[in-house]
Amino acid sequence: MFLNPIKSIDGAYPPLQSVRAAGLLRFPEEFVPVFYPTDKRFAGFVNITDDGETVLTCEWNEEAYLAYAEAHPETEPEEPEPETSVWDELDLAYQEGVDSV
Amino acid sequence: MQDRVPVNPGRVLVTPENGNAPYYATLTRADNPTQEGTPLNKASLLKDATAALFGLGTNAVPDDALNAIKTLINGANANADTKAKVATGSYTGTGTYGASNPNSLTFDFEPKVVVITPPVNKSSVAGYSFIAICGQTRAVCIVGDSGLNVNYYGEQLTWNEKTFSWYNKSNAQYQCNESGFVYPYLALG
Repeated sequence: MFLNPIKSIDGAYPPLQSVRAAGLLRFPEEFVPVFYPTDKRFAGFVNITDDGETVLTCEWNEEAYLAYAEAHPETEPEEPEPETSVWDELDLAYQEGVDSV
Repeated sequence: MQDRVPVNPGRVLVTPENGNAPYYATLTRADNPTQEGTPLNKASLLKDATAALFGLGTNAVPDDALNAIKTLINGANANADTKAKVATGSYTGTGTYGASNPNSLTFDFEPKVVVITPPVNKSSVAGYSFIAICGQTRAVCIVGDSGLNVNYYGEQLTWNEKTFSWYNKSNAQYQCNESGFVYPYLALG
């Protein structure tokens, strides 16, 4: 995995990408669980050190994470739309027409 | 390239610094080598047949061949630069979104078209994807659902040489950055 070393103003790094390119840092596999914690709503809030080519240390930045999480509260899941297709609706309209005769 | 052809192999003329008369001597290496080593001559440095491969004559020296190689490399690079380039890969979403948290992808070339495809590890039938064309500042994120409905959400794009970045101001789904989901991408340059 490879990391764009430019942090956002909120303190998060952009997603890790799978393909190397100039300007990216190699991101060791051992740090991936730190970058993508399973118990957090957002990922990428880490502090790193590097040698210009490879990330050497990676620590979770709880302070930046909490600030972002508070500014972006979890929203209630939207009521799911009934899973009817156009064909279902046409079928229903047809049935209504039949019933009205 | 030409080998030296001496009439008197190893003979040198020694001129003493104290003003005595110069005299000839024959130098013979006496270092008892454990390995004779590769001799520095035409056969090891630049054969006529090798020089001919570069269009060089029998008088060409190794430096001429190196110069010819560099010219060939430059030509090959210039030719390669005109060819279309393709990069494929994936990124794993972080869940962040908005202007202050854009996604970005960096390539070894300047992308002209970037395609973000729906996440491969999402069980929902809804798919989020978009196609971005270099120079455009907006793209449309296409979302399909199980009801054959298709919705569109705007992506704000930035092209900075080899790095392409984008964001959606509403949420991570529309930004194609849902936490933990793996989004394949394709870039053409």
